[in-house]
Amino acid sequence: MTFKQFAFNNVKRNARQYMSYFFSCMFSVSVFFIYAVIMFHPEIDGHEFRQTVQRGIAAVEIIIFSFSFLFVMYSTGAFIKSRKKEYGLLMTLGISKGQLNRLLILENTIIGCVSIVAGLLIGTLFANVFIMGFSNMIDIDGSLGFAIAPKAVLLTVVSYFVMFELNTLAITWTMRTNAVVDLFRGAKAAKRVPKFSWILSIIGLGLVITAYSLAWTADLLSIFPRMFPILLLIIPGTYLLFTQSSVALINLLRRNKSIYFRQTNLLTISDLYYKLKDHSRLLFFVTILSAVAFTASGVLFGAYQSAKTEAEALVAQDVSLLSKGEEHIANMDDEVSTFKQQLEQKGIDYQSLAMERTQAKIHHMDQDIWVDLLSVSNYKQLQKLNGNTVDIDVSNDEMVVMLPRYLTPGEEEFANELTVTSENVEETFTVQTMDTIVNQNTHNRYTIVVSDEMYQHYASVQEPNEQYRYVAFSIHNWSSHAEAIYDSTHMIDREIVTGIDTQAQIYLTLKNSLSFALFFGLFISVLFFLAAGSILYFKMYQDLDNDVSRYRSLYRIGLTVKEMKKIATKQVAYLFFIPFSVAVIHASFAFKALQNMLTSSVFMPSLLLISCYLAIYAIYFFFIRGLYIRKLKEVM
Amino acid sequence: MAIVEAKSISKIYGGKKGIEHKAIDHLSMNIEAGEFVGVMGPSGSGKTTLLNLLSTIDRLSAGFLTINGSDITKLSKEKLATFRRKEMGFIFQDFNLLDTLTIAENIMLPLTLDGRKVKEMETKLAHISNTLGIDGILRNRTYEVSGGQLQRAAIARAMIHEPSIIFADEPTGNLDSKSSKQVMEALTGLNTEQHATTLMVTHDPFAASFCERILFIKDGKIFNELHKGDQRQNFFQDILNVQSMLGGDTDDLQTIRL
Repeated sequence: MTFKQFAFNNVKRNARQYMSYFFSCMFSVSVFFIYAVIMFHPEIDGHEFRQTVQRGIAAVEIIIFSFSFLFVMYSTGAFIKSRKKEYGLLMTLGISKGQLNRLLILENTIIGCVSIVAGLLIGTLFANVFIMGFSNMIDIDGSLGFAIAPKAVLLTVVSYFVMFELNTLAITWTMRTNAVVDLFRGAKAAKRVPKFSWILSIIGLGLVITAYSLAWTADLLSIFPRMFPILLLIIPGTYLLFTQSSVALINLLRRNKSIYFRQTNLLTISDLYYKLKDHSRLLFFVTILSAVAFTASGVLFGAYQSAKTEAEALVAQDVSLLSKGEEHIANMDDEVSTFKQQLEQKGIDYQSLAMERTQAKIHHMDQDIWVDLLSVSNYKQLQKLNGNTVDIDVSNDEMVVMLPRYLTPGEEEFANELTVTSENVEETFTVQTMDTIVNQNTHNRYTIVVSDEMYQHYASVQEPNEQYRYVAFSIHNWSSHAEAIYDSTHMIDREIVTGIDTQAQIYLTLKNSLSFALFFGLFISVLFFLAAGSILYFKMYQDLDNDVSRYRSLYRIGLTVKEMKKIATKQVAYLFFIPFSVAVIHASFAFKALQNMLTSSVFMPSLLLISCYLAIYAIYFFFIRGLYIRKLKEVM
Repeated sequence: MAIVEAKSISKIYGGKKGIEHKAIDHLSMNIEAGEFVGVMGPSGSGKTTLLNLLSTIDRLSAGFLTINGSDITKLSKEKLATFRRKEMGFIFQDFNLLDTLTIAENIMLPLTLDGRKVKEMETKLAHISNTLGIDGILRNRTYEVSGGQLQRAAIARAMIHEPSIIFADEPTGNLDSKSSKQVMEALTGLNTEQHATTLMVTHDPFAASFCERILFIKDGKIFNELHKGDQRQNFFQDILNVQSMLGGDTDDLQTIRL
């Protein structure tokens, strides 16, 4: 057995321990590689979006890389700590410090190289799917070809290799090997009673609750200034929750004798007491990682799913065309029929409705605001076009102000009576409000519904430039024709038709920007999530030695295998699902904040997403529980 | 009444491919209720294997074994565990107390696993800890007390559920001479006062001299049997004589402590 063989065998025979670490490394290598492939894709160079896309990908690459760096550093460190006893043995046998370092470096290089190669292979396998998805998403005519730039391979191999080596060097450098005795003792030092402070536990709980309430009450305007304080509260809050409150909670449980002394509870709770404290930082880390993963992917996915509803909420009519002034209105019919022709050519069913509106002015929130007037019978026709039947009556001294979707604070509070002024008429009405059913335009803020008689009163004496003509379209199943509709609007002369609003446009913009974000966000989230699972797996493995001897002695005094399974399952489940649940709760408050900004419900998409994560997590859990129990069963 | 009845029990290690090794070879023995029996022998003689067989931790290769009237060869692994929990108490060389529990919790563990009431547990705990003189350390953690105290706590754990037999595996192996004496006096005390049937494996002749009867084992068979007379000093000398006759590693002969 040469020295190299020895190192190689060490890795091979510890395969099970290395497995999850290896998979996480491999996954991050392949994700990194796939993004690199797209970034260096030879056909991407010609496109105008090259710079933005490449900058985006570069940012993602940096995140993935720094995260992998931290992860590898933690894992390698944990590993070496768990094998201290082995190194102690080697040192008593006379291995020199230099040789030991060489052994460690050799072992880590082997794992590093294997995961780089495996990552590249997996990456190559999936790169094509990714390239297709990517070109589909950013609307390149014809898909990008399958090409892997040598630069991409080079970047991945070099950066990951350097990372593995740097980490190993850092670890060997920091590992103190002064006394062999210390190494022999290894991780097996006497366990101290976990300490906690009630004050800190309560502060932790308080921080988290404050952050929750901030998120719960956030809306579109307040979310941005609140984002940072929320993070600043939730992170230390979670930390205290795990290091202090969890121990405090178990301490309370221990005081309740009838629970604590109920059969295997004694073993489960007392062990958990130590494990929670030992692992509190780790659990905190896992929680934050999972919460970031859930929140990022949930928010992106939720917003993506709601693009259609959002577009419908922002823009009331499927398509609307608006011209202002006598001169433009005279030419408008030609433009409208061009548009209609376009729709007919593309085989899109539509219904349309043309109507007149007239301009006026009101005084609201200490300023003069431009508005336009709509007769109540036209209003009813519009509602009919939108597929609603309404029964509304507006008398001659009433008006109904239609409020747009997004309001500035206080905007919805109107005076009881308002004077509506046009060039030639001035009348006072009592004010009511309702949600708008017409599309916003750039000329005025509100559209106001008045009685037919009053409308005539204004319209009959209007100046030429106070005239509006509004053509509304209802298009069956518009979202599936979104692109065709949007393209058709380009045929219209924007000098004549000054207001062109389509749901299709908003929908497409939302979809595009979100699919970008989703593309980048989802994989980082999955990466974070896998890493979180992998860290837990590691920790379980490190504890195994201790647990094996515990269960051996318990078995002798008559603990049954069934009871062992029960205790072990409970413990693994707590360590797995406590951080998971906390992360889910964190994320749900983030979803609630998102919900405050959106019209459509994000409940289903976020539920779907969390269930996916839960499924992956459950598989992870059963896998690790199986390994753990099998290992314990060997000694029973 | 015999608590343990072993009829020509054997334990064979290795098998089809490897070389067979008979760790225990057609050995027969009885332990009567209230007896304090010691098992001695050189390293590799099979004394630990014998203890594992009798305490049902290990399976017999051949033979019959009844403990407290039940034929344990017929019990399943799960049933054996519950059987051990009810009928047996264990004392180990390295104490095997759980460091996540307090001394009191460690002692109550067998009762807790059995699902007893908290009140009952506490009464029994108070009684046994008083007998063994460890009431002062009940709230302490395992790393806060001395080896002798740990072993007495282990004895308390072995006794608290009033088992029909106690198995002790080198109970003084990790202790200094003063603590050894305390622990052995505690064991003999419980044996005489509460008639606790005890089987102890040891290679410490001093500890062995507290027993009533000693079985010497060599190569998996009973080699000799000694009964205690009136004088412990004489008994101790007899033990040393048999040991030197048995040979074995000189390591097994400990320095004389009396």
